[in-house]
Amino acid sequence: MRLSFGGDSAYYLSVLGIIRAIEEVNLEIDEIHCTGFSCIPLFFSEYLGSPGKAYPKVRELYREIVKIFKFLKGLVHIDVVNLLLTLYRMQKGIEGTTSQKSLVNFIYKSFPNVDLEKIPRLKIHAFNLKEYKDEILSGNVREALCSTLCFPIQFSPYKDYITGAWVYGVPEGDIIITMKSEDIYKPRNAIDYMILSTLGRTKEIVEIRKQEADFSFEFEVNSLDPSRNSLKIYEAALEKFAENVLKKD
Amino acid sequence: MSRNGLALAAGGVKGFAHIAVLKLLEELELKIDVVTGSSAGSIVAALYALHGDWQKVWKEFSEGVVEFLPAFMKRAEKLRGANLWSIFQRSLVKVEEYYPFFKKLFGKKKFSDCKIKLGIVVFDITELRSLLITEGFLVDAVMASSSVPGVFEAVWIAGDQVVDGGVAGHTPVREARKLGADFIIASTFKKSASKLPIDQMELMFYIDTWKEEKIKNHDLSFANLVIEHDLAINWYEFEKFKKVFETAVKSIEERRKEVEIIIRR
Repeated sequence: MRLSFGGDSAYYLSVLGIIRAIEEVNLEIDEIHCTGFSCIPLFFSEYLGSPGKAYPKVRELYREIVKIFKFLKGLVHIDVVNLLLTLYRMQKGIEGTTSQKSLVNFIYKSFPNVDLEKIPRLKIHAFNLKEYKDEILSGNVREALCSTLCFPIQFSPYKDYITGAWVYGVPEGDIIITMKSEDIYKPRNAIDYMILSTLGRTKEIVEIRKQEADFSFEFEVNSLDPSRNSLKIYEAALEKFAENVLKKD
Repeated sequence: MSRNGLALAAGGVKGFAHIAVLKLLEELELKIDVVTGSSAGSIVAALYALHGDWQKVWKEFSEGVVEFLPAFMKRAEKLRGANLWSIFQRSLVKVEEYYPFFKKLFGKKKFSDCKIKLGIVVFDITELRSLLITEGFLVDAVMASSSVPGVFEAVWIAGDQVVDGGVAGHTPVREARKLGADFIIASTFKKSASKLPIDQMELMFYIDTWKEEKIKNHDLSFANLVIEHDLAINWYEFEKFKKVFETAVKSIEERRKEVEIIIRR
């Protein structure tokens, strides 16, 4: 059974409650696929052996994450027009509005130097620009996280990789987990329409993947802070799994 | 008895290649019961649903393009360069500028005037989902379906702001099935490889093309016959419409036997 998580917003930092619920209902999961923000809690959960052990680590990192990442609520909640205009004025080319170094420093400081082979259930996805395809990354976890957390506009591609969260939204899986985003903004300029259209395409791919999965669940939280959401998500997950997955089994 | 459907893809001027498909299907005497279209595909689909004759479709569409081409080409020049204009303008072409083209083609005709069941795909830019329009005035639905985001001003339909159906329904095969077709021919376009992006705006479009292909391939998996046109041309190069049609006629002719076998089967 492949469990698959999206990751376009920091709401995905709260997914540990879902992992805990899965453990409690004894749902057997062979692989956990992730891209973008969800890879942070899921890495710690797999590496430390339980969502409970991962929770303090994610809570601790949350303060830094809100300082580093601009697209905390997803692409729709940021003034993309102004950011792109800034990039043009500065003639930055493929560089983003934030130095890639800050992303790399954060990841190298916050995550252990571990090979992904040591946590075989975790499959970190990113989009390979040169190969023009989705990839499950291998090798060092820090390098994988730099790729999957590389959000365009803010950062330049990391070694030709960007997050899959803005491309296909969620990796393919048997159980697909997504977090509901807030209302989208009203388009004003032509670029807004273009950005919304590209978001619409990601949403369509997510819908297709949900239809192809055995189960798909969407969770909704009000806060970005995982410490405020974990219990709520855990309870919602228990209820959803009991109603759907376990009944079907 | 099976109900035959035809799904016509988005593609700007490349939509003229669909007329070559109509020509072949008429020659093979295949009756079409359902036709769906997105963007330029919606123009051809609606004209065919109205007239049921490929020659009439060619005449109407090409005459419209010839009449309105000079005005469009002035705007389209900007599409050849960087997309910087998109940061400052609401759209490149305003509704009042492109409405006359669609009015010329469809006047006050409605879906109910069509000889063939018709479905036009548009994209709701607020809800971020495709909508299938099957009633009302053709001019509204087709104009909305052809409104390339950012380039043409979005159109309001039933209180929703909608744009190009090709956003999430590039080749509307699933929609043809929804309208009752059980044997579906898809007329679509091969995408040429994109260059690696050199700035962040290009990067957004670069990954967008990958998404479009992903959705298109999913749609095509529901088709019984796919006719994919390989045309290395930009969607806005409407001055090349004759060349598109002629190239498509030629390449389809090479597949005539294969198409006939699948249809007869």
